[in-house]
Amino acid sequence: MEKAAKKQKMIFGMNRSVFMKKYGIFIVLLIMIAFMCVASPTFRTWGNVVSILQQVSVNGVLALGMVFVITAGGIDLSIGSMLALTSVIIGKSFEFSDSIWLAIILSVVVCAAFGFINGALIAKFNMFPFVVTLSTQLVIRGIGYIICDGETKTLANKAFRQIGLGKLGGFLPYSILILLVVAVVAYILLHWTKFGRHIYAVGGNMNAAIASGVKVFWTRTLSFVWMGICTAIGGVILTSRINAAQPNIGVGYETDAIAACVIGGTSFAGGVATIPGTMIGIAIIGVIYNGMNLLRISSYWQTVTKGLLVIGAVMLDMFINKKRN
Amino acid sequence: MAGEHYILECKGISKAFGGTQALKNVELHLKAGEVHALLGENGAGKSTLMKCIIGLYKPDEGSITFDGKPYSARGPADAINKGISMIHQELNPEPHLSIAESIFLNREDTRGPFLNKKLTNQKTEEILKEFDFREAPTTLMEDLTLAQAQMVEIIRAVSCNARVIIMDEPTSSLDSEETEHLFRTIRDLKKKGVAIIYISHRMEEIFEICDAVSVFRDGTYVGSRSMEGVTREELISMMVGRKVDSIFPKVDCKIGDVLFKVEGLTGKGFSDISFEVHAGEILGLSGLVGSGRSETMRAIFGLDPLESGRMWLEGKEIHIKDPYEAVKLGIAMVNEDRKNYGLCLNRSIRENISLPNLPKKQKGFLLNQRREKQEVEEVSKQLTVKAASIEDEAYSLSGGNQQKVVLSKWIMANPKVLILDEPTRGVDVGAKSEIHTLMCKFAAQGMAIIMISSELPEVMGMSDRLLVYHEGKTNGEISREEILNGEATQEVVLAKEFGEK
Amino acid sequence: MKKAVAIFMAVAMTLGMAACGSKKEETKAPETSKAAADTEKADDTSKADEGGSDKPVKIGWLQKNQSNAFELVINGGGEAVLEQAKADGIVEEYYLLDGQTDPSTQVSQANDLVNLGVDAVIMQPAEMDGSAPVVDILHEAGIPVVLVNSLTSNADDCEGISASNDVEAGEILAQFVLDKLGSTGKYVHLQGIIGNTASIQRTEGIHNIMDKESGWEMLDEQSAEWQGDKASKFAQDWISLYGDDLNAILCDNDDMAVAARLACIEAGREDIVVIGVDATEAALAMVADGELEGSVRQDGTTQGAEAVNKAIALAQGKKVEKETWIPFTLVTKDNVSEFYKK
Repeated sequence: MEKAAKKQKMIFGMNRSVFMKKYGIFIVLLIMIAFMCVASPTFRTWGNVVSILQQVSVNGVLALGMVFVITAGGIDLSIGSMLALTSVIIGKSFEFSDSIWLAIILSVVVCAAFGFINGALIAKFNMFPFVVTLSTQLVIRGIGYIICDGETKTLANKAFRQIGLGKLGGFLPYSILILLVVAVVAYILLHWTKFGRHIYAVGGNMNAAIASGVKVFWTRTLSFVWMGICTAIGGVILTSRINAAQPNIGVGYETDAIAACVIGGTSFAGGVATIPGTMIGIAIIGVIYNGMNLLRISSYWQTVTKGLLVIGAVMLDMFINKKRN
Repeated sequence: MAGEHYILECKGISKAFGGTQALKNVELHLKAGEVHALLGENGAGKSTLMKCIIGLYKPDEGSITFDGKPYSARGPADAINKGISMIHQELNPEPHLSIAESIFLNREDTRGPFLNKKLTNQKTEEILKEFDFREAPTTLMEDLTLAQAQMVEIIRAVSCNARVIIMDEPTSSLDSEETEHLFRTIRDLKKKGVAIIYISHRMEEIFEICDAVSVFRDGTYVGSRSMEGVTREELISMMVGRKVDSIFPKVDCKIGDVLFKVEGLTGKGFSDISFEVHAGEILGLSGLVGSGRSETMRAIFGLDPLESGRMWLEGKEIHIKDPYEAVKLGIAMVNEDRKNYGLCLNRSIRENISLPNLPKKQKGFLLNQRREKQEVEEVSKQLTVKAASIEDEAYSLSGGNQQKVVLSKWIMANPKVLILDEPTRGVDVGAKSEIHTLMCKFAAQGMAIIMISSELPEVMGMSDRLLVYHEGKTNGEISREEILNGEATQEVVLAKEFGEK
Repeated sequence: MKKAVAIFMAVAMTLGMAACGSKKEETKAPETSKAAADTEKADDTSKADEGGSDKPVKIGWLQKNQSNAFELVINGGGEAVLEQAKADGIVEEYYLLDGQTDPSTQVSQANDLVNLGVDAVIMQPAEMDGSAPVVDILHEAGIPVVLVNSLTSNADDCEGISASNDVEAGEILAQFVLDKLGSTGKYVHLQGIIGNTASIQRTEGIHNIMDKESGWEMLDEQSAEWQGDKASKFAQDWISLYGDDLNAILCDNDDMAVAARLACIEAGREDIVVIGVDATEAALAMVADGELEGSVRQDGTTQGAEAVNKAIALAQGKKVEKETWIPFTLVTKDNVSEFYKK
């Protein structure tokens, strides 16, 4: 093994396969950026860079939650509905109080609670994450409709808009700041804490994790709670951007979040993921959307491209996994 | 024996997997209408030979003759077509099929493109009557008892015109009445001229039902005997005599007070188990696979539920619900199934070793990664884990090094009781003796060690005391003195494993 | 046996949904359209003399959905009339089904209504082509159909239509931009989901006016699928791409217009004229504050009420005028107070 590795071409002191596994997707992003810089002069402008970052902020925050869930061997399809629920809760909250913080905290608490329910159902009764979240998704969306009686409402608090569209010092958008803060927290959680290690272990080999004394129930459940918290934060940005409490938003957001994770090297088999990789996955999706808009390609093609990219990423993942076994 | 007609003859069969020679020049002679027992320790080569016969493996050398003609099967289905069926120990019937569908699976009656269920059911009913089997052909497999499901398998084999039926531990999950029914069926089959290869560890059964026996040891053929006139002692002495291929460096060390004690443990696969282990002592558990050794240890460690029984650690009664509690109390277990219960193969050596030890490495909320790295380096050096870096993923390591990683993680946890289930399985000779040396070292540090091994010389060589299991119960205890002074030979231990008092 | 169970389930579920629908209606009806209900009630009694039977009738309503703001206005307008008619003994029972903007749901619900034995059905189609089979199913069972708000591709076969002409809405949008910005400029167009009747017709209306103006150029036309967040992304990218060339963003609905306008404000491009259709509460609030130039208001309340009147009359076996077209109105800062109160 070791001898064979030495014979391979070395890139930056790593053999080629290790290098490609670690940074291959980063190279894809660079190629896409290089291509767009040539194809569209607008792409290079600072204003457009800010636009991209702003546009990915919602999906980014969701992907940073989803990466925990997938790495622990689960999946969460209910986040689209949770976004809508967040929007409705924020609208309702502003009817009673002007406090932005109250609205945000309320959303976080409610979404974390639904995350807990998802996780507990899955971890306690060993139900399939796909089935559980597919069902709770309906429950959560329904509750959103019930709370707002099905109606879209303008947000009573105007300052709230600033979160999604405002800029710190007229320069750095708040939504990007939020994304960065969540990314740093996610990085610390996944790479520097016991919780993160347990996520990797549970997703990598649940039996081995149990036999090593890991509390699997709590690890799996908390991964969904973290997903809920991230969804609430994403929902806050999204709601502020559309300036309305709307119970029908958020459809399809889980797909984008899952796509960002998978493109960023998160393995569906569980146990493999990094936060920097996920961030790159998020950026790639952002560049696809923005780039195709700039090239005036129909939005339907964007969807097709994203789907193909996910298939490619999953195949790459399977290829790497196969090599392992 | 010239002139005798054999229905199935295997000659000079050899089969190697990688570097391991599983079968060496093995033979088997089976007469029509004969019940022929296969006897041997775990890993003696019985199942490998059977898999060669039904076409799951292709032998490297040797020839098989069936009904006087050269024979080879491309797989179980082909073997069935040619007249050889195997009833596996663990049946996996399709639960949603009916008896009729199960018996006629893959050879359904059709009318044009459609199934002719009526005809199939009719045919099934006739066959069932023949076997005195009182269930409707439409009964679902999931509604049958294990014995009934097994009978359906046998009926299926017979209805395929099987002339040789291989039965692997057919009575392991039957009660005495069901066993009696099975034996009646076997005698009926004999009368019809069907030959049966009967694999079992139960001596009494072999003496009751079989006509002849072939004994295997370490992948070699020892010999055949007619059941008439052969004694149990003779058979057991044929089975043992495995070469001692490594020296066991057991160092005697000071044995302290009782550290861990269990009483009346009962659970799935074992009942009423009591023993105690002292500090600095290695307690060996021997027994055949499935005799309840691993099951007991899994239950102690909290992986499986205990039905009843009490446990004490350092004189205090303890209750263990899950491995989390076992680890917290200072009990560690190296599982026999390394891939499933030992390692997260796609994570690094560092993460695997520190997984049960993370609470000790926390600095507030965060992990102290520098200290973690340092300590993992230390322990993996101490246990001589060979890898380029502790960041290497576990799957890239050899079996022996993987096992050392598993050991490292538990050594780092500094347990009071260390349970080792087949610690040297799938490990090369060098790593094996290193693991043995380490065991002595840990015992010298005052750990209580419980070791399970299916290799008699290993478990006899390493243990201060040996507890022998037979069918879920303990069947005697052997001390180191008895082993050393030659009172307890391999024959004695094996006889106990086979249920001799 | 299985079939019987399936039918039982379908009926039970339908009744359940109907119960939910009418419960919701109790709380909302008074505020949404008291006026409309009153006037239409007078209409009813006058029509009752024209022949047909006075036996109480059953009415089914295949609502497009019970969640979008605008659909709720239409639903509310009609439900108020239905409730009144039930109180007056004209209607024996009515069923409100939520189609969830899905044509196949509407098709299966149509079968449920046939089983329930209704005398007439109102439908707001989820899609122009996709919902067309509903009309055939109901006709096969001899049940007259009234379309409300938008049309199916076989709308000619229907017994009644109560709608506004979405082409007109598109024309009003385009004319507003012309009036505001003069004879030259460049614009982009945000569409709803492709294939949706309203989107198709509004697009047609916009092009009717804009294509005649040689001074105006369309830079891009994309579908944001009625969604605000998608519209926001398009607006941002267009502002980056076209810069000062971009003068106006025409949107097929207000959810998109509101989000696009917010993106313009954030980018410091308050000069870009943004307008949409529906006059939702969110849009009107911004119009009142001077943040949005205007919106085109569709009179959903009257559409709903008129459709119900037609359906009741048809159920009683009376003749009705087939088509009623309810006009759109342009809402700007000048007249917003008529439709929106803070």
